[in-house]
Amino acid sequence: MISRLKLFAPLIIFSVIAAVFFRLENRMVSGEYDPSMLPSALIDHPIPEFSLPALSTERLLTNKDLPNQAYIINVWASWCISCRVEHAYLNALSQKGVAIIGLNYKDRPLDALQWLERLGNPYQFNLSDLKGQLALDLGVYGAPENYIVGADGIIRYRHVGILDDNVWRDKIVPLGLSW
Amino acid sequence: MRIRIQQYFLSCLLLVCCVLFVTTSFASSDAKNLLAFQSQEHRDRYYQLLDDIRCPKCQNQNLADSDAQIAYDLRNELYKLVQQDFTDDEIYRFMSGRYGNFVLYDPPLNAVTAILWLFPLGLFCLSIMIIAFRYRFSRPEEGHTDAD
Repeated sequence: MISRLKLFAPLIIFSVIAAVFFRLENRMVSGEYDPSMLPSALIDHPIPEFSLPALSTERLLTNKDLPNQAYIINVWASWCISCRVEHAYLNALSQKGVAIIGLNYKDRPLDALQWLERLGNPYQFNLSDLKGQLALDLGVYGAPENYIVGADGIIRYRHVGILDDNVWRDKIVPLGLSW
Repeated sequence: MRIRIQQYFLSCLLLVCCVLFVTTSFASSDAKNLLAFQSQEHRDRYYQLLDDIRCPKCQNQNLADSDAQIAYDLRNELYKLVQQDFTDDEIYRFMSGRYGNFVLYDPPLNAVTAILWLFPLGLFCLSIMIIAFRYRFSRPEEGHTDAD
């Protein structure tokens, strides 16, 4: 009897493995799981120390200039096509009263200012990170990236790629921050 | 006459190849020596670390291979750190503190990676147990019925 059952062992093992991969595939198709997205090493850590010029005025800004409420740090550049796609959603968010700080990443300041004039400015202010110093400390590896920061200045979530309604609803609202 | 021309053509080709070979080999050695280091030891460490740190953007390439912008930035950062005599451990911590353990090819043992170490060990223990069990409970006269 037992030796009969043993015949089915390979089939059972195969079924289990197939089920695992099928589930993984489903989660990848639905966008719930993306193997190329890395978890941020800075979740639950404060924003790194920085001192960078503002995009428009070139006044030096530091951590003290960051808002005292929950906010988003949006890493963008005028050369970044996905940022162009994302921009309309950021405009809508800022109209709803969400505080967004821009980290203008390795951009030409003139190009960036022109972009804001043409497409609207959803940012409270923009940091001009020409060499990508703060971006490196944040663990940015491509624009756009969005860091969701609590009122206490602690990074709660990082989204690599375009921020849209789905991400907002599924990932950011559950964090329970008051905007 | 025709053979003459052929020979002439071939020798020209050979010459061109030689010239190209010599110039490219000069070019590549130039590229390698472009960065100035305090010592040969610093240079060796730099190139060793380039191989040992993974690019966060092009995820199957190390820093030496990758042409991504971020890999370029991290190479610059790595150069600075090596020149400032940071130890390998400190450099690994610098990189993983920003980009996560993903960039290390030899990640530390923690809750997420434990399965990598424990699974083979568990499999080994399990197989020992199965062998011991079978050895203990299989009587000689039943030995061949099992194999049928």
